[in-house]
Amino acid sequence: MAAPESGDGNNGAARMVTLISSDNTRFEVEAAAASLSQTLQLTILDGGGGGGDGIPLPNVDSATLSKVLEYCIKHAPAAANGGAPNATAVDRAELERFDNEFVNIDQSVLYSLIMAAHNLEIEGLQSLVAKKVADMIKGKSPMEIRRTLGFPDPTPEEQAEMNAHMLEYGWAYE
Amino acid sequence: MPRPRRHAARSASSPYKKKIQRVISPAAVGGDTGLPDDVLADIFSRLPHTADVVRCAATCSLWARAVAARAADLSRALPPMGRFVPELAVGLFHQEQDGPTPRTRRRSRTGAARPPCFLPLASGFGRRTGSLLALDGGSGDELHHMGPSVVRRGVAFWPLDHGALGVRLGDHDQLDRAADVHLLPYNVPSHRCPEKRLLGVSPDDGRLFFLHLSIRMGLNVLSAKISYFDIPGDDDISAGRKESSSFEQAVMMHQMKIEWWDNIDSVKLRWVGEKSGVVLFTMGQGSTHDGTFALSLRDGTVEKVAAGEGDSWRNMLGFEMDGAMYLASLLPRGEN
Repeated sequence: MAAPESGDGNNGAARMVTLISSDNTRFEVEAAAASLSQTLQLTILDGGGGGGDGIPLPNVDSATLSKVLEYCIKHAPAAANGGAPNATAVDRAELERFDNEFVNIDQSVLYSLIMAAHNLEIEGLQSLVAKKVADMIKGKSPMEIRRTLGFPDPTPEEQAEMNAHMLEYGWAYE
Repeated sequence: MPRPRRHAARSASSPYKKKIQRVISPAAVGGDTGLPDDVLADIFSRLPHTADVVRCAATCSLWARAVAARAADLSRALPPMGRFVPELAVGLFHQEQDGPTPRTRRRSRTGAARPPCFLPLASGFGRRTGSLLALDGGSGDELHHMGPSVVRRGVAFWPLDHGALGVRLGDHDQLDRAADVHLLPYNVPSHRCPEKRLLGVSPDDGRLFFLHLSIRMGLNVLSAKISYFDIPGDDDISAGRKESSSFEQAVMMHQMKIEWWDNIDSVKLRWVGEKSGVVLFTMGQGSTHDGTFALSLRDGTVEKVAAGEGDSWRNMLGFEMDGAMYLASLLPRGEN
């Protein structure tokens, strides 16, 4: 979305933490947003990530982390309201629109996101990406699923297994 | 709210255009997306139908293992399989005898045939009239003559021509009374056609019943007639007998119009589900309704399970199991 602000931008109110990606890029982000990650939440509650320390995330590269943080920043206000019981329909619709747009991404980015959401335990993001993959594979045959997800072509033996499965579980292919 | 600031600006323009790190590369690991079972199960649980999960299990062996490993969680998350009883996958097993498929070629030397296939009944899955594997007859099946048994309160019953044969196995240490055997007579003359009679246990109150098929004249539809056995003291099979015919109830199958040219002899009753109250029967070729059918005794509806070859299946057994057990069975052959 919007480019990162180059100015100071520090209004002094929100506590910031620093996250360090596997390729050593440092991201400074509000603690509330980073705390959407169950994994990071405890560290942050303990006062970690502040100052010059930063929390290293050796499993997440910078491209993925910046995408993850984009999600967290967008969802942090609603999460702070405890699932936002007082959120307006407009707010919810805006989040939904954001989510739909957010997962409209290249497949390799999607895989990285799935793993990052899983490792960082960001519940909303886990559901969002899992739903996206489910939507990509639903209603497809095993062969179509393999093509969609970019698996290599099946070996003759795998192909024979797939054919046998189709005969055996014919009901699931109608 | 402040945006995250990037101190080490390695790519100031857009972070998304950067080369994606090869943390997971599907092609590199032979069809595996590298996703752990947890993540795969999370994805599968969001699929709309069990049929989608079944196809995923066929996509690659790692996925099949993930489905089997998380079968219980998946079956809770997915929409119910069962149409008749939601928590049960009701269906039938049929066993191929000799088919030149890749799997049967690899069967073990003991001559064990390929494991039975399960064919679930549930209209939720949509149309179900695809033709299935034609099965060779093979050798005769002795039990077929006696018909399937039903077990109720420790007593096994078989439907014979003049009554239901009840056999209660005795205790091991009482060899003189190893078994308690009685014939519970029918009140109507006799039911000599083994293929049109079955015993069942009612899902609601556990009563033993006798089921036979006939044609309701006038309406010209197939009808299932049910009459219950009265077993005094509920366990004393020696005095058990069928209740009088006034207690007989008939379930009309209005979808099953029988025409004058239909060969009613080709109708065969196969199985009664004691949890679901579903009856499986087949009709042979040359009749208007050619195939395998499921009748719900609860509401009298009939569903066509398979077209064609059902009539020729000798080894057909209805089955009721929960969704988790079904998903766990999707593992490729020879894997545990």
